[in-house]
Amino acid sequence: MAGMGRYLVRRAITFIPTVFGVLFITFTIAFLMPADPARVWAGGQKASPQVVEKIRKMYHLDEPFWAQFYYFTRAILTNSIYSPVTHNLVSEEFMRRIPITLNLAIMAMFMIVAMGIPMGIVAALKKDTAVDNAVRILALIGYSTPSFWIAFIFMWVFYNELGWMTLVGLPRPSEMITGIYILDALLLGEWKIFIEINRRLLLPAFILAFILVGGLARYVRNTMLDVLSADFILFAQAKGLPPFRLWRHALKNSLIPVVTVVFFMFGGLLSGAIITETVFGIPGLGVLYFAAISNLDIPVIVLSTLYAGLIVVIISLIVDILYALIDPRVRL
Amino acid sequence: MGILWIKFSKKLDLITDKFVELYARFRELISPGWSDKNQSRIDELKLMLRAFNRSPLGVVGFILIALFFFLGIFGPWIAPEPYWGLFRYPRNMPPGWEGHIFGTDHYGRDLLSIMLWGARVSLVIGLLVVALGVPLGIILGLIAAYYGGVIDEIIMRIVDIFYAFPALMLAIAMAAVLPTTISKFLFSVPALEGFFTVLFGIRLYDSGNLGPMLAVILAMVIVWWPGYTRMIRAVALSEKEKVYVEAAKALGLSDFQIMFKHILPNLSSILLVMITIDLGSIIILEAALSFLGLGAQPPIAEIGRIVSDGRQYWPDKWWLVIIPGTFLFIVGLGWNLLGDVLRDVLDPRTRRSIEFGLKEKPVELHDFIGLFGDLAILAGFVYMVVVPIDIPGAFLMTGPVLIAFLLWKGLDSHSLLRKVRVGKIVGLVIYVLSYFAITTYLAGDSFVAMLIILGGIILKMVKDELEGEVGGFE
Repeated sequence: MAGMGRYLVRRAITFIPTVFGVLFITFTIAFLMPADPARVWAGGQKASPQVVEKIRKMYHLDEPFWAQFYYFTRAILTNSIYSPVTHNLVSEEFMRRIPITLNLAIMAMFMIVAMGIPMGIVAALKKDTAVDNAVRILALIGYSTPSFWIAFIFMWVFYNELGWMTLVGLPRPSEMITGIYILDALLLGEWKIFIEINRRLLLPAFILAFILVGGLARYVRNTMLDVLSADFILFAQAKGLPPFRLWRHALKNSLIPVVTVVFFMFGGLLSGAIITETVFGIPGLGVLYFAAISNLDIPVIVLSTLYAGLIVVIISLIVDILYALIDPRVRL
Repeated sequence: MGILWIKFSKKLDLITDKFVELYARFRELISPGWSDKNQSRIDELKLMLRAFNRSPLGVVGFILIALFFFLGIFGPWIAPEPYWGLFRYPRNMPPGWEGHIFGTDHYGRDLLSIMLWGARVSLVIGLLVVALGVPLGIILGLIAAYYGGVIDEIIMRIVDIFYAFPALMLAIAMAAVLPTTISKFLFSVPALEGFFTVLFGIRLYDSGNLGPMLAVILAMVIVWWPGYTRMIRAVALSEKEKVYVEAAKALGLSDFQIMFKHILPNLSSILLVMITIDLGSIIILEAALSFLGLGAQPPIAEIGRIVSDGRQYWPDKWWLVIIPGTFLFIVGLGWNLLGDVLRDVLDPRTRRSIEFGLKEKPVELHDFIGLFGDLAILAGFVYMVVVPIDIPGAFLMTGPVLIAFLLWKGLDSHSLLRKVRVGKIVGLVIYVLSYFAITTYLAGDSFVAMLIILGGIILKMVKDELEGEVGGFE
């Protein structure tokens, strides 16, 4: 692991400014909000000037940009940001919603990986056949499907017509072990709750998967084809390895970049699927963010964007470190 | 199918060749002697388009996009009614109501008309995002790659920061923040206001909506440019090391000239593919934003907005969601199909393989078998569908006449087939099929038609078996 320490230091040096930049941009967005937030929070046009003034003082809205930025950063570090609209501690609000979004993300990611990787491998091995074309078309359809449209269609089929799904409520298992409802229900053996959670979340998760699965399958196919045409495969072929062993070698090597893509997809899902959550009325992070935009709930907007940005930054850090561990060339 | 498509795409070749020649003549008019100097380029272009024609997906995508452009440009003129005629009819009427093909929308307007107005808004927003975002991305990417060092580091860190946000989230935040500022700016420049109202095809009376619409555009520009910077930098880094750049430096060309006149043209095909695919995503993201209530407000027609107004009536009044949603899907699919096939066609490695695939293979026995298999299946289906309806004369069309017609058309396309004496085999098959058709007709049940289909499937399987592994581009 020579050079690993130096690599980590170098990576950390680029990590900190990115986090700071993410924070800065989110705060600038909120600062540029055109309406007067104090007036909105105090209750609109009818609010008395004293109350508006008090709120303005409370949230330091009358101070210049840099001072506000300082107060805000300090408040993040001390975890003392309250939503002026709901009067809750924002981090608590997040904690309530993260399990729901996480649940949805895990279910969607499970479907994407379970369908996408085998599809990509088959498409690569059967290049230029009907299977390959089908995967290609599926990917193109996924890219070009507006999620709200497909959501309404699936909702009609599985809710209105078949009645397999439900659109209200989200039962919790009696105990929290991992904090993810569906896993907890499975671990505790509470099958009724497990089925109820599935009835509620399977459809939105499937829609998220439907949109992303083709992309992953195509990515797997392309990396697999690249690896299959590499020299070491030719060597293995010349050595006389049977096709099955050959594919195993190819698969191992092509899965490294695939893991990166899976990680980033998961990161994107973790920050909340705004449209899918809105259509299905799932109280996750996406709905929170969207409601905050309409209510001018600036602390929530900034923290949600910060959270989403941080997830991606952290995931890219993890991926880079994993790469450095696996592949010594990166460290140099 | 394959044979018919090759016949069709050869006709397309004639059209695209004509277009290339027209283009060459046009360049010749501007600078005499151009086509002599660039003969190889003209041939390459022709070949490229021919390879494109061989792909049904690409041609379908192109047709969809051409239609979208047509609707986007002329939509406001061909729309039967203006978008501002609110509550002219009862709200949410079903398709076909009093001659309104798509029915009426949430505001009592003809849905077809507002879709046509909305197509213009979608098209203009998509093109403006590309027109603003791509140059910014290209310039920063080229600078980062060419100069390297600290400049590269700074630009790429900024790109990383923008990349960290989910696209939809950042776009929502920006689209919510920007409108007031933009409106203020717009109203101070009346000429710009007039220009954009004409571009979007809206009334000057609705120009208050320009602020939110431009905010959506700017929001998407902010979301989109980092992708181009990343891609251009990655490609330009390898391009920079090539000999022609060294030569240009040795000749004493300025950095600006090397970057934009020598490196950039070599990136054009990648850029074209990326822009084509991105235009689909931009149009869908824009619809998603207007679905969430950002961007233009009614009465301006926006596709996403129609869906979001209609969702409260789902699924009773399905057309309010399905029709605009399907339109978006088709447009997105068109761009994606076009981009995907362009990627194959513009990449010299894959293009060569397409061109090799184009070479006419000698016709072999299994080609005939496959053809007859197809026709038998077709004849069976036609028989089952048409005959029970009892149309006088339909019987004649089902069997021999139709098959003979198709065979003649299909066989004629394959120029090599002419050399083979096919008359006897074809005649035999027609005879057998028509015999089956007549007997079934007399028997009055479709059992034999099923047999014909089965026979066709078996023939097809025989063909596949003879052919071994299925390969090739079609």
